[in-house]
Amino acid sequence: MKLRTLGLTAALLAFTASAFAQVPDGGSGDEVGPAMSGQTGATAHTKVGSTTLSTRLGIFDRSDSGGASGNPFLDESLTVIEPVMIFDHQVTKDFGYDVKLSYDWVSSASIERLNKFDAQSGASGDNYIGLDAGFRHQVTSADNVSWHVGLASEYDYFSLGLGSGWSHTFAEKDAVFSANLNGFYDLVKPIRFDGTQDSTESRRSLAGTLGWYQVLTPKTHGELGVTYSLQSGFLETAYNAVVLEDPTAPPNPNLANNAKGTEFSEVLPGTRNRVAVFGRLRQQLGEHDAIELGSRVYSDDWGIGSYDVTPRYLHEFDSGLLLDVRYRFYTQTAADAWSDHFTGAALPAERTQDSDLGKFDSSLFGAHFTWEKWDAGLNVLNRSDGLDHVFLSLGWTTSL
Amino acid sequence: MRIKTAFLLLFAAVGATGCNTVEFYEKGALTTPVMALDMPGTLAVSEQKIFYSTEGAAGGLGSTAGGGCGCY
Repeated sequence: MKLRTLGLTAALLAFTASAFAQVPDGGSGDEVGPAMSGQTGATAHTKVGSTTLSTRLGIFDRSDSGGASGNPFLDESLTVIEPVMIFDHQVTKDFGYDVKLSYDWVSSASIERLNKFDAQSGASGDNYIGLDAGFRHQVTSADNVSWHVGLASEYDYFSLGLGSGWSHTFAEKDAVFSANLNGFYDLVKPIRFDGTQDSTESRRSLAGTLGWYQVLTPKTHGELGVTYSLQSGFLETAYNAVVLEDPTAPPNPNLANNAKGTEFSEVLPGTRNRVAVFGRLRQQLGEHDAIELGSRVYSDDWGIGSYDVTPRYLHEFDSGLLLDVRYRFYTQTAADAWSDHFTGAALPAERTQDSDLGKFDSSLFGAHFTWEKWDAGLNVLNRSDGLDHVFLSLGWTTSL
Repeated sequence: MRIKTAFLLLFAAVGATGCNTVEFYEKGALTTPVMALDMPGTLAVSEQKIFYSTEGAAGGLGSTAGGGCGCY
């Protein structure tokens, strides 16, 4: 049923795109296609010798006073401060590279909670560092290949990522086809809800994406893509727990609301297969205005199905200030293993109370401004289970 | 079988969109700032991580499928 929905949605998106195509055959022009592809991964063309440095500071904040929202047994408050830097250099007409560096300083109630336990006393925050180097080659006038290698590290986590991509421009069709394959190998030191640490586990992820970018009319273009990914290994969040409630038990001081119950580690399947179809269309309205409609439909074998719809409006002021406002509605079903309450004599073999695997809807309101070398954005998200968040970012890009 | 059907439907439908061509001299509007599909690379890094870490259905935006702690 879910896969049928995916197929129908893809067909509907493409049919909608076809309906906009009104320009007769003839002519050529591969100049604009690749430079405007977004999520589908086609390579952008830049000038030989150009070097750019982009930096950004992002602040993410989610408040959850005493577990009032989401998981009732857990305070899910979280603050992340994230600087990101990208250095990009086009060495020759046929070759360029970029280096991405990101750092996260994470402060969360779940980390502070671990401080209660002797094995993790002193735990106050987490530091994440990610480094990724990407290389792009133009192999023919119509074909580009790219590959990247990345590392990420935290106190209890290490990840190695590798990926490659290929894109082909169909000049006569104003289209770009792209294919990308990415793999990750992760090592996790599982630190459990009670501070104990288990032996190191591994996780493997592989994702393939096929994309299609299309110019439809002189004022309309869009893209469509599908990603299939599979994961195996340790797929739980190590410190996640479920609470087996027992009204006859004494209050548990380790739970956010001193509930009566006992915690047990989260257990999830050892494999996960996911498929997502996404697309969007952008239409220019006037010289300085455009609208976009995007959507994504998702299904996996853990029982989660979701879709989002994102309308967007862009306006360029006479001063050069670019305004980009969007609304995103998102909804997902719960994973089969998820429940908000576990009672009875025994727990199911697979179980989770992770709020992000439960059923919820969300509405995101976003505004982004770009002016010369600067840009700033604010996203405000309201979630039906109360786990609202705010994301604020400030970016700066310069040519070196 | 259903996966195959879905994928065939998808790409048959996409192929149907590529039957028309826009003349080179008609494409100026597509190069204006309001028509650029790419978001800043640094913003993409942050937003993909947020979606991946706060939604059970994230992954599949292109390069983000796994990796990263997901500990947000």
